[in-house]
Amino acid sequence: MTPIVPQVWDASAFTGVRTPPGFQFGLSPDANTTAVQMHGREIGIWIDSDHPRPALGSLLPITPAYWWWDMSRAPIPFKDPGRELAMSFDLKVPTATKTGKAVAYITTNFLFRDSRSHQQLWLGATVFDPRGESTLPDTVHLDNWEGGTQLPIHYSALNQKSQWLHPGPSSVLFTDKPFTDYRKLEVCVTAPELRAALIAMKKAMPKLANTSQDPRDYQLIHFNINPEVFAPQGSRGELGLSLRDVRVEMLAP
Amino acid sequence: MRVLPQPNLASRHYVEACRAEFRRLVPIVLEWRGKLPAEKKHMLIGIKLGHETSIGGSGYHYEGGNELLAKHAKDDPVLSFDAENVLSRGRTQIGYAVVKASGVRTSGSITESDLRDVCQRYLATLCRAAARIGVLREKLFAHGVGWKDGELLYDAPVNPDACPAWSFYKHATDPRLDTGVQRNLACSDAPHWAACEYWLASGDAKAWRDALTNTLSDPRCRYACVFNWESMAASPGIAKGIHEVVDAKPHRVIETIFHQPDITKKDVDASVIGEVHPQSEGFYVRLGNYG
Repeated sequence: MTPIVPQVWDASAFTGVRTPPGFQFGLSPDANTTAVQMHGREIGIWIDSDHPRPALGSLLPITPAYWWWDMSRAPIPFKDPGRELAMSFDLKVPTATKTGKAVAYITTNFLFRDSRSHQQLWLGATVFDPRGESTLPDTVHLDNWEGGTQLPIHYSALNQKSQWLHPGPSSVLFTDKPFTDYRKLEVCVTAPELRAALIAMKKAMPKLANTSQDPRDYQLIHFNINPEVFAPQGSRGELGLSLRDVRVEMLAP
Repeated sequence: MRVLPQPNLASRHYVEACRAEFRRLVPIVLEWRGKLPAEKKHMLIGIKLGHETSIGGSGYHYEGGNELLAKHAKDDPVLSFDAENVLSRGRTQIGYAVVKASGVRTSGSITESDLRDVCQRYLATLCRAAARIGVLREKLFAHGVGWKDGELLYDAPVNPDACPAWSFYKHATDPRLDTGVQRNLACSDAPHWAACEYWLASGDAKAWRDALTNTLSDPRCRYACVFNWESMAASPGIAKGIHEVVDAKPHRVIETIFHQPDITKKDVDASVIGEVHPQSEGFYVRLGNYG
């Protein structure tokens, strides 16, 4: 495994966040290479797909995430009726560039687990993608990219059109353009929306017919914010962003 | 209107006089809050120290000002405020006493960073003193200001004992476009900030609703305080817009499953991990597919 090393160069020009010395790391100490900054409640992420290249394949995620490993501790978001699960944070994306077929984008993801069948599935919202909103209709497929989880994955753009999730009342919506000011994002899921996602999954993947269709059966076992660069050989993608104040809450609408 | 001269913000006597006043007033406020029942303790939003802290911004001196003192105020000259001139604002340069008294500069010409530094030190001194008598950082706000976009003076209210706060007029429509404020929020580790002096030059309800919504959309924004409200009576749209914001039904948080913790030096190393999962419950940043 490539070790994580401290960096002394300042990634703020790419990420939009400046951290004190000792709070920036990467895979190489060299200037301008892929970096992570963490200080207070802010996280800065800089991905340059060429420095370094991935060890395998073309996909480069750097993912702030929370894991529940003990399933007995994982929350059951929809055990009570009339609740919404919400993930919120502030985001700015000062840098997104590409050459060739590279793509840089940012998604948020909830990982649910059916406590009956133990089947797991992702429910994701794309919040930034230069390819544009029209390329992101509600889609369910298998997470079979390099390093993928081989689990069903639902994707929507964060907008008012999705059948599986919706933006919170104070949230900005999906964008395809970089922005340098912090904007609040809030991705919300209701029980009917999760049920709609489960129905779509079972329709697309008949072998999962035994999976529960009742949102009350599902645990939240992981969530993440996933900035990612896809850069096949001969292309290059760069993505610089910062985020802060990540919250996951249960809301009463 | 004539105002008293700009005080020397580094004067020992002046700072001590400020300290003496809030040593008297702050305990009264804290005692009042302490006696409130738990469900009403939120009524103390915070305590603000400083007021558009600056040199030559709110208090200034005209050329030959001392000679004007003996004359009638109606004959005072009128010089427009030059926001772009970050040193004198278009009037006679002041601030020599404070930069010398504070040790920031003893010779040469005053610079923008000199004026920023003395204001920052002044607010930091007051806030430290307030913290020592028991005001929590989340309840303490330092009032700064800036007029030219991005000028250094915006840095003044950022200190370890308080939350920064600024005046908003030009960028009242959307503080996210205020580069001086955003620069400081990006590096401030304070739990909150505030639009502690706020006025939108519009009588339109939708303009006020949108502007306040933008201002309060940042979850760290603790409050917006409307100043210069005398003209509200003549523009009922303003109150209507404010009501639309205040009366909007918010989502009610029933349960916080996760709230990102502060990352300090001692745990930052463990928070950034490589491909292998830590297999322990927690919040991590994972760098994937690097082998």
